[in-house]
Amino acid sequence: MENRPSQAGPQEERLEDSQHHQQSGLRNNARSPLPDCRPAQPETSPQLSRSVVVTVSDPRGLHLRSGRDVVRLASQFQARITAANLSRNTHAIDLKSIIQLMQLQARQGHDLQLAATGPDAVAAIEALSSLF
Amino acid sequence: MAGGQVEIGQAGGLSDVGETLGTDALKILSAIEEVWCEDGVLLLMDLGSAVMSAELALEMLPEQRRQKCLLSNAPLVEGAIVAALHASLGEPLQAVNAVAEAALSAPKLPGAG
Repeated sequence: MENRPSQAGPQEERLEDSQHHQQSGLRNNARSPLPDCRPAQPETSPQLSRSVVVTVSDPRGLHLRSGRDVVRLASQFQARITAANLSRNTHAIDLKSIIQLMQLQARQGHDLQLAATGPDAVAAIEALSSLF
Repeated sequence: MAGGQVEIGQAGGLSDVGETLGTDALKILSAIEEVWCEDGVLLLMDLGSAVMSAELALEMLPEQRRQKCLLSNAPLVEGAIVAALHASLGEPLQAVNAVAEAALSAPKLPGAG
């Protein structure tokens, strides 16, 4: 892919962690009225959510070959990853599907919102951002 | 699309009469043998006799191999692109076919469909 040095880097607009602690809270309530005195431990599969807006820099837009690289990379992560073309006001599509990605009809300069949810969401968004 | 990781064969035209329009079950059979892989073979077809010829070709295959072949309802061009990519990602035959067939209902023009 034309992975040129990012002159137009990702705009990390919404990069808030939204770790869901609801589950563990419920568990504590259900099992024991006592405060949980176990040391804080990482959840086995934390459901992290990350989102970023990237701008398509390729003059030819997001074409089939570059789309292939996006899908190929996205498929390496467990996280559910979606993308929406904010410039066309599309709904979010599954970034692991080439046919859905092509439906974004993303041209140069279009803003795409990438969102990932899953244990490797942070790494997924970081890696994918570098492709635009 | 598949980065050289997926074998793709083609079988078009009627070889014996030099006719470019039409399909020949024997050609399809030899294309299947040519790209054969234990993970299976997905067959994409266009219009008309392509489907019947593909079915005939499957009937000529040994049972063991026939079971690993799948006739796809996917559109030929879009299906081939999608299937090649998803097969190269290591997805099983049925999953590859499912994404290829999804191309049938994917509009090409923004806002269409």
